[in-house]
Amino acid sequence: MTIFSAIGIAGTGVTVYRKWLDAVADNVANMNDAQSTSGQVFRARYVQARAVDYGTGEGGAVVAGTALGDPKGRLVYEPENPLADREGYVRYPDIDLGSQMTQMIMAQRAYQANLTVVDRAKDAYQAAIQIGKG
Amino acid sequence: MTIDAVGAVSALPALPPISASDSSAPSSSGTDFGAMVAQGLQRLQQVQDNADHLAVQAATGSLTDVHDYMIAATEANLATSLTVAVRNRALESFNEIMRMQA
Repeated sequence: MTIFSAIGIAGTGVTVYRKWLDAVADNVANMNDAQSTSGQVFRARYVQARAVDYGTGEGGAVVAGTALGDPKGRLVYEPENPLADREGYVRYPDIDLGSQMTQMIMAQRAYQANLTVVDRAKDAYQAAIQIGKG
Repeated sequence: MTIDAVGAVSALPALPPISASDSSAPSSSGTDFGAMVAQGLQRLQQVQDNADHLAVQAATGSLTDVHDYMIAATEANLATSLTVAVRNRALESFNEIMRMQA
């Protein structure tokens, strides 16, 4: 898409931040998944974005992959938990809710910013189409 | 929202070339207007197809990104406006030339 490229480029940014929001949602949804000490806990998802090379004529951002957190998580002393081992420990994913919330706000704001770019680019192109009218 | 394939333009007979004896007319260079309009319509067709495809996905629930459809629809809207603007401008010029006889 060479014409109206600003819209397409901003669109790739929106997709990246949508995926980031999905990752945060996944992390928050699974942050209390208890596991026995012998098992692996939920691994936090970290979206890795990178630029699409502008030299190719495309531009924009793309999700290159997802990095995963520590499968060992953190040990919590919960002797009443049926999953607890002999010493009374269970494993929880090492996800900090505060950090996830920060990431969520960053992703949400960046999502909105990219949508604003789409909107403004649309206005600009429309103004260009209106040149000489009336 | 189905839009029929644009076929009539390519089916139109080509305009006869301006005779060589008319030295006042500049020799045609680059792409001629008809080809440009046909190209524009083809691009418009592509954009509309993409928007239609995503609209079907939105209706059937297989659309993963809401903004993808909205952006495609916006692009289709802009491309249509642009094509219509070009057509109107061409028509205006043509009418202006036709009025020269009066």
